[in-house]
Amino acid sequence: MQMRLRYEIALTLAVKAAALTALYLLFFAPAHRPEVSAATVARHLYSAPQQGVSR
Amino acid sequence: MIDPGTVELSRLQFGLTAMYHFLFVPLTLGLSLLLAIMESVYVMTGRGIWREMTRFWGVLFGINFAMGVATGLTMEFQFGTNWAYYSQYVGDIFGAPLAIEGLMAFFLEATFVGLFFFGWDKLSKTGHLVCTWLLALGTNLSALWILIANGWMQHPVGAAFNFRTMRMEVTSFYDVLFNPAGQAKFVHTVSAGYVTGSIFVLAVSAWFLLKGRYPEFAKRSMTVAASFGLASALSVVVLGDESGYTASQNQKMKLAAIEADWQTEAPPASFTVFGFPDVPNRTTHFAIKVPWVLGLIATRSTDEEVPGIINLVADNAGRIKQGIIAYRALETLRAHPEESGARADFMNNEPDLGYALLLKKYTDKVVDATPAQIEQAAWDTVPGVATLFWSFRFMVAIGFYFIALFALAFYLSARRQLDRHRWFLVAALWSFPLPWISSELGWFVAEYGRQPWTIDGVLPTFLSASSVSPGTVWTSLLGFVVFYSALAVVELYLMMKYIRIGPGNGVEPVAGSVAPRRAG
Repeated sequence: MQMRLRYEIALTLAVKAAALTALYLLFFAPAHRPEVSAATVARHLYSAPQQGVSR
Repeated sequence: MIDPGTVELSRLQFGLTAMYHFLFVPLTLGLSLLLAIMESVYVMTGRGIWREMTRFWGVLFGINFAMGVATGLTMEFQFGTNWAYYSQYVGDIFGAPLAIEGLMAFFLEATFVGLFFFGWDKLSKTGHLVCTWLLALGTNLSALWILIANGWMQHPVGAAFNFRTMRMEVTSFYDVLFNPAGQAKFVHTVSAGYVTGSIFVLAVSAWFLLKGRYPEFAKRSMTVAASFGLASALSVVVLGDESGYTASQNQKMKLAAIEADWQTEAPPASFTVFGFPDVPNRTTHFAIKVPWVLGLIATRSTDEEVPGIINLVADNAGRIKQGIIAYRALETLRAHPEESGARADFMNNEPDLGYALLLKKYTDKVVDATPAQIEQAAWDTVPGVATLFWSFRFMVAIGFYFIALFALAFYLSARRQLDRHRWFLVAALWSFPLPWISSELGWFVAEYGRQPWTIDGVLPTFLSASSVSPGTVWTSLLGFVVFYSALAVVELYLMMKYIRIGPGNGVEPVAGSVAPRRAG
């Protein structure tokens, strides 16, 4: 590959990695995720009170 | 229940990122195999022009690979945030093929793409060829694992709901792996990728010939694209038929909606080539039908029915009622896990549990649902008929156009007339965007046709989404649009730049010329 193309691709990959990291940190990092467990699924899908859930 | 606006917004975000991501994927799939074919000819014949072909198309492959790599990550980001209930409910099954894709196929692909680009002067001819084939294998394996995951969403096999953990769990990984829906989607999708690669090579080569540049290089490239593309385009149709057959077995409603088939016809059912679906009146106006064809395609028999939408809605109302029995039993089991009557009711009706969940849109007290609510929920199982009808027909029309184009290119190549007909070269050039349009339409038909489910018959879409703020989803959506649009622009810029520069040393820039043009 030409040196020029290597440079262009390397630069694009670096900018892309930075953009993906920024999007992840701003909107999708664990702090942004709702806590979902067997109990919350049961509350969400099934209206019965929480009893007998083993985890 | 989650705000319906948030659900629709999350769907829009996921749909857009999937479609953006799939702008890059089919070209990677197609070009990787074309590179392997070109390099094989080089190794077998020792002729330098095949090496230059591999290198030039390899540069364009590299640009597309670099722009596309990791763009699928954004969808995985969304699983945990926007689709947390989905991830909790089916993550044990759905996550496995995605993890294998990352650990096995992606690393195989990423390793050998490096050796492909940097190994030309460091590896033997055969060693480099092996790397190129392994690169093609890696890209295809990557597609395989993704489509196994997607196939499971279309036809969830090898898994069962565990009322203790409140999630689906794997009962047979073999069944997940060899799911007929996943296998049919895999071969259909990779064939479509091969067509994309072939059209790309055909169109760029046509541009060279129209400009009078690199005629020998362009004609050889077109010959490879024509023969590989013709085989691939025929495969897409045959394997698409297999996808249609698996849908007729497992996703009858999707098939009926694609065909705007409202009533069950006497077998063998006719195929509607053209018409105007009228959803409110549940009919199709000005339908032009070809007798027998749908029956033969969908059932591969002359005596089996293809059920219509209205009949399937009635069946689904029955499944909702069975699901209510499972739902009631589940409530009992969660309070008294050893209660044998409830366990028996649950086991007998568990396959329809998901249908009862459709009622959550209308009532929190699913077990007390009224007949009107059951009727409403049953009609919710019909995806957007008119949109599917037209998307499918445009996709198929483009698919048949590809067969005609490649057949003509093959014929002209055999008669050594590829550069004689300007109209053919113009047609080949202007066909450039069509494989992307048909691939996106194909995905749209597959995924929009799966609605109202994220997991067919198991989990409705409106219950899969998380309660995230619409403002957050809008902002991240905007971020994705900017991110992917920038990548697409950079890809187009780099592609056009390196296409203009043309192939490298040893390739005659014009007929009869000996002056090499430096590039690649």
